Amino acid sequence: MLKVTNLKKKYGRKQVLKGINMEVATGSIYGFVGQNGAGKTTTMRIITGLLAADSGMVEFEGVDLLKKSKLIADIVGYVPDYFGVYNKLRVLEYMEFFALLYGISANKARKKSRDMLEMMGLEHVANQYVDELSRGMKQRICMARTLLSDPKLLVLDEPTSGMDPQSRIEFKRLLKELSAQGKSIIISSHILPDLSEICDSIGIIDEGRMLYEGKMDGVSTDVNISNPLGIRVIENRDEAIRCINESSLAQSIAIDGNDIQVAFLGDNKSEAELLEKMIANGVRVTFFGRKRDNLEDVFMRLTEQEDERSKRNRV
Amino acid sequence: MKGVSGIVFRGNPIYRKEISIDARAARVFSLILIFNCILAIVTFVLFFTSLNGVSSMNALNYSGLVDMYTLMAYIEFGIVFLVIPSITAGSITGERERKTLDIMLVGSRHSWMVVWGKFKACIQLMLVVLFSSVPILSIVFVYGGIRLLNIVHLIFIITLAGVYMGSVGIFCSSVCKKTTSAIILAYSAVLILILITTVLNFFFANMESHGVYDANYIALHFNPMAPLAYLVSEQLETSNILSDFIFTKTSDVTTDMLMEEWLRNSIIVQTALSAVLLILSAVIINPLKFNFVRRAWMKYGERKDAKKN
Repeated sequence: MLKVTNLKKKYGRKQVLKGINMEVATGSIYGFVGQNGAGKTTTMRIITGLLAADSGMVEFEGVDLLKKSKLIADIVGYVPDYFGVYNKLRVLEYMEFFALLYGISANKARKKSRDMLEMMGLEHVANQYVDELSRGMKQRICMARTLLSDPKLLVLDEPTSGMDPQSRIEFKRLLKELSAQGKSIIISSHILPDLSEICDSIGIIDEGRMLYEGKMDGVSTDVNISNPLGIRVIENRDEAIRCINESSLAQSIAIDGNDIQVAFLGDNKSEAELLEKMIANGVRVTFFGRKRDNLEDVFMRLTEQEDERSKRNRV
Repeated sequence: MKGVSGIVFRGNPIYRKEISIDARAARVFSLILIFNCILAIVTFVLFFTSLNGVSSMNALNYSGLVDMYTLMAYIEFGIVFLVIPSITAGSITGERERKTLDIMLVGSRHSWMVVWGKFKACIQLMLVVLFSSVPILSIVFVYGGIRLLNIVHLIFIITLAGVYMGSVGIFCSSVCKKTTSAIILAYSAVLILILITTVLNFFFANMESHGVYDANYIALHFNPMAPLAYLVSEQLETSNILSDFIFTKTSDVTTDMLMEEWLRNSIIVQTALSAVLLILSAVIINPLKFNFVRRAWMKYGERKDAKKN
């Protein structure tokens, strides 16, 4: 497990990380979401040992990576948001170079490089110059390069940007395979539907502060409590309205034909009680439930709330 | 072999990569060609000029040998001066601009590997260029008076100057973000080292001639050109325009023994300074790979936090 505790970082006078906490379970995929400049890359660079934290702790399976940063090379694999390729090297040479850099012996470097290229479906371009490849292929080479050292923790900064839909689907499949192999993966991306598909847990960061951290399954239920309760009836609409009005948890009602929107403060149990009451009173209900937010809605809601809060604080 | 010693003495992947890329670039071929062409043209012009003297006056002018050898030595130095700072100054910044430095640093156990690989590749390039000129240099054997060992010494001293200027270049490359600024800084630093130490020596020598100060050419220990100027004048047993300029001989107190010691000391000083600059470069490109820097940084952060609270 990767555990980041109270991570702080300042650039000059600007506090870019204001005590970040996050936990990435072994073998899970953690989506790291935030606007540009929120502090995602800074956090990732600290985890990969490229940047010093001012204070805090980064622990991976009990090892403090900030104190034993030499171990980072063995534990962490990093795919930044750029390719980092040498145009005058062939793909296989490029892979071998990194294999040797990661401490793989010269005898094994070529085999390992070929294996990784095969895994990424790039064996047919092994003798081509990296410069001649498409953007998507370069991206896959970067991933193959990172996997050479067989890292336990993968830190991926915007890895799917610029990939075509087919490559993105394959990439998501690869990440799921890797997590099934027990690798922990932190992935940042602006393509939120992709993240909601593959991630087990999610962290939403804004202005150096973690706004939300939790399981992907729970993100919409945790945040959508303020969504109105939607009800659609086909008979006895007035009876339905009467039942709602009798409930002390209903704050306001908006009616549009047979559709009723209720600002309802109750939990799942109170919702079920309301539904039972309506059915008992002869109301025929075809839809009953709150609108489930997707990750984009949750992200927008949280960051907007944070913006309002900081505006209020400033005033 | 593990750690730094392994990086130094065993295969360095960054060095291997540099060599592969260099071998494919026209840069090395052009450099060897241009350098040897310049050297050959100058040498043959001087050689045939002195041969003309033989046919017209029936006498061989030995000052031709002195001029030719001196000029060849300074051309070799000039090429190293022109090439090495620019290549080394672009080495780390080039990786930064290509955005490959971070990936290298995450994967490698020590940033020293990056610095040493880059440095070794630059020095190898310089040695290839220098050794390619040996056939042209050997024309001085026609006259007699210069031995093979003299040529070996000459190449050794020029290599030393290359190592010194190369480490300055690598240091500038680790400090700067852009290659252009690193190159400007590297050339400025090398020029300053040559000129400032010469001016300082001039100043000390004048004080010395007035009996105020016994400097023993101390400032020149840092001058990358001084060992060469001394060696050439020593080998030919006559001073030349540059050795006179750099050493500013205002008094005769300097004995041969003292000067031999000076040469040895300057080799030690320049080698040590090169090592320090390379280590500093490794610290600068990723301070976190050095335990003492990392601990100091964390302590500083914690102290700042504690003060705030």
